[in-house]
Amino acid sequence: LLTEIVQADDPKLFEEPFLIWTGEDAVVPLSAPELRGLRRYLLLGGILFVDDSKPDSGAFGASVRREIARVIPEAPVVRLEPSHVLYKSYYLIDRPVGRVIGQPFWEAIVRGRTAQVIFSSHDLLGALARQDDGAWALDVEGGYAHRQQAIRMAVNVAMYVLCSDYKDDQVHAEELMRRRGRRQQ
Amino acid sequence: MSAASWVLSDDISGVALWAALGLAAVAVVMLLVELRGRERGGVAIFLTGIVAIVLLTLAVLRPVHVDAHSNAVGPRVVVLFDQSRRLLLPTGDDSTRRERGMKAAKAIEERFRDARLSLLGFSRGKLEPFSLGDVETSLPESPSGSDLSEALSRLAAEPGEHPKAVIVLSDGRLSSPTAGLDEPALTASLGSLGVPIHTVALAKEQPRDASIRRVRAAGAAVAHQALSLSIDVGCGGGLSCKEIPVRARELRDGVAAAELSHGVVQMQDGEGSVELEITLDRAGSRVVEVSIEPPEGDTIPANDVRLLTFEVARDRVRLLHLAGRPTYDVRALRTWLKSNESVDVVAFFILRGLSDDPDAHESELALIRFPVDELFTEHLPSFDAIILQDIDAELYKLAQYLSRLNQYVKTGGGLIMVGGPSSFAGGKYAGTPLDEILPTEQPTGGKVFDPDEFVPSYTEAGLAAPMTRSLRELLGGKLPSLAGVNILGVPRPSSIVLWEHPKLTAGAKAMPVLALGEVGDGRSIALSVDSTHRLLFSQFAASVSGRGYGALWDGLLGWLMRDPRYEAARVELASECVAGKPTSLRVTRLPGMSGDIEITLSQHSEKPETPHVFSVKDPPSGPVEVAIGSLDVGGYTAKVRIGAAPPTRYDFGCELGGEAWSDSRPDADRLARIASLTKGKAVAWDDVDALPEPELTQITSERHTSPVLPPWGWTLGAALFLGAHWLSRRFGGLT
Repeated sequence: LLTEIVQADDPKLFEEPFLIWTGEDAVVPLSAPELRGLRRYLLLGGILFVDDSKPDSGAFGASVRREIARVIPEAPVVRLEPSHVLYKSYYLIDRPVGRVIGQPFWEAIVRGRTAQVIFSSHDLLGALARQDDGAWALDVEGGYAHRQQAIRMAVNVAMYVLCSDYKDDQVHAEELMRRRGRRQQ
Repeated sequence: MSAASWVLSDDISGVALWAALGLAAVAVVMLLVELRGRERGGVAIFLTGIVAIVLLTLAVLRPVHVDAHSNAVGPRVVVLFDQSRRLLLPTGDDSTRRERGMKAAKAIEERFRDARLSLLGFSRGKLEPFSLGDVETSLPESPSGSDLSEALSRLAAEPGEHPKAVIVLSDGRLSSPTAGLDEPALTASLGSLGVPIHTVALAKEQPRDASIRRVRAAGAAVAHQALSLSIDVGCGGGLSCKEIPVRARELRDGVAAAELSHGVVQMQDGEGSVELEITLDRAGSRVVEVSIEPPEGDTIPANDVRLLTFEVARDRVRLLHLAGRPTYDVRALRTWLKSNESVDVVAFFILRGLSDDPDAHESELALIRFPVDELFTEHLPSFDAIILQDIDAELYKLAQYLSRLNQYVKTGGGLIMVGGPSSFAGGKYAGTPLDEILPTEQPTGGKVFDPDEFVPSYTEAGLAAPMTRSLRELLGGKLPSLAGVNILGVPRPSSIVLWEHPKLTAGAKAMPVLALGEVGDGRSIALSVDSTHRLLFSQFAASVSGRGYGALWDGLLGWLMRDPRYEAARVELASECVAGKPTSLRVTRLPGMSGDIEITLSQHSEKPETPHVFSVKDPPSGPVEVAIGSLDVGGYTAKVRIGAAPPTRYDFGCELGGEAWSDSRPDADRLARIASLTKGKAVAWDDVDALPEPELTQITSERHTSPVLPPWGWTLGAALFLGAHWLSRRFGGLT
């Protein structure tokens, strides 16, 4: 996985249709070019994943929501229902977790049929972070099992970005319903 | 012959005539009233008054003397010869009805030697004069029926001398008037000519024949939807007809005909019907053969088979999208397909490779088995098109179904192979049955994928192709930089390359990047890149809000599915195709299309033969009729190219009998009724001497007119008698 840090008004923004915005502290208000750049990005179909690295304070998450509301004021933030394809795009997952367990759902701005801005207040990237020697960089609330779940969640996000709502297709529905039912028993 | 007569001056209008007569009548009445007051001389007053009134009236009307000489000439008689191809049906004496008609026409010429005969052929539309000395060219057979009602209307509307009689030569199986009309309706259908119509029946006996009389479809043909065909069968002439088997097949190019349906007609009194339900899976023009198995002794086999061309529409495109791995390109294509209201997509993406370890129990995974067997056996025919995107044929067990895919495309399906490291040769497709139906050859060794960025360029065909017009209009002929390309070989002979690589070559030419192919009844597209999503999402795409992606795929899928919007021309038969007769196709170039016309014509056959090619250099503007020669019975595919643009396909059937031969029964009774209603005579083809000859027509050849008296003579006479009248009145005591 190759990552590159870009400014919201940088033309490089358009090289990949998947963008992650992460941080700990409140962000400064976006400039007019940055607002335009991000709006263009989303209108063109890009997906933005907002991951709050310090959900305890919530300063980052709140400030990004404030800025996103300036970017696309017409689109409200909604809670993603457990039936959303993000919870089944590869692994069957009941709730999102990250470095912290956090709230049992994700929120998103949905445009058309796509969750285009996904808000995570679980520090998902924190659960995936490794040191240079390959060891996990940060402890995860809930231990190994939750870290595994966080990894699965990250895979689901990637699959959602690459396959859209593929797992919502009717050909998958019956089998996935059956498996979910079996797991809940 | 001469005759004399009197008439009034021809410069007197009707109004003036009646005014003069009215005034004279008033004067006579007033004279009679005045006579009551006379003392004597009543007779003189009355006579002079009356004579004066008459002379004054004649001075106004100025009568002339006419001396005319006339000659008697033969009556004008019109012979209407039925031009329908139906008259080529054989009779029992080794001739055709048409040959009998010719003999009858010659006999009429002999019989009506003194008459002025006009020989006219009738079918539909205008009447065609013909000469008995040159029948073959002057009286061509018409495939469009025989409309006697229209022919009589045209005769009645002709200026000049109307005929004294009409003689119709036909077998009676007319398009109009139709059979079964009651007397008022039949009279009305014969028009207002008002002359005797004599009829000459060219056949009376029904041939030993079983035939398909009519095939009707209940509604329009839509791909994948059942269509009910109502088939009427007739049988007679002494044949033993109880049950007649019927079957329907679809004729296809390069593969065996497909059985659609079959049934049995239960015959009663020589007639019967059966409903067959057929389903055509492919859109566009499709040729369906309906045939009967006639009883032994059938003498006209040509009308046992009908070839019908259906224009099959499409409700929704049912499409199978298979992807070997999730990528941005897969996402872009899926999103576009799902957002397209006219597409019904079934998708299977390989999310877990064989070597992947998801570290989870199956019940924790949202993955289902790739149902490759069901898809390529049970469900394959239900799809209109298949998209293979970066999926390895061997790894995912497609290899064993590639023969089926080959047949699927040859029988009318659509295929798009989208690039990626596991596509084309990289996906082990080289040398397989699928390779044969792709528009380009595949490399069998060496490098299969080039990862370098490049910007493809349009070929001449790409710049002319209707399916790239929207994209070119949006982006002005520019294309984005694309990430990597599959190595393709040279294009196959009939393929059209739209995009090519700026550096890599195949053979001596630039390597194809986007190419189109016609394979049997189907079409295939090779798109050797997996980054067309950059037309949707990239700095390049942002300038047109990503609309370039939809424009590209609209065009590709539209062409694959034969959407008329993406064809270069509209093609149709100029007239019904009759086996053995010269046939023409009418080609209408669609807006923006220019260049020479080239038609490649092939007959539907399991083993294709070398197609015939017809070219028109520098065609004039507007629709162009291209002669394609005389064809044998069968289904045909014409691929029409306009300049460098990809070909437009048109399928049609060529019949020996066709509609004209569908009902071989003559109808002498109808001819007899027509003759009876118009006071004409109905005779058989070998009995034209029994036809009555009309009376001679008198034609005036010389006419002299001279005034009875000059105008001043009438006026002077009137003045003298007015004077005498005045004296008589004075003598009689009147003022």
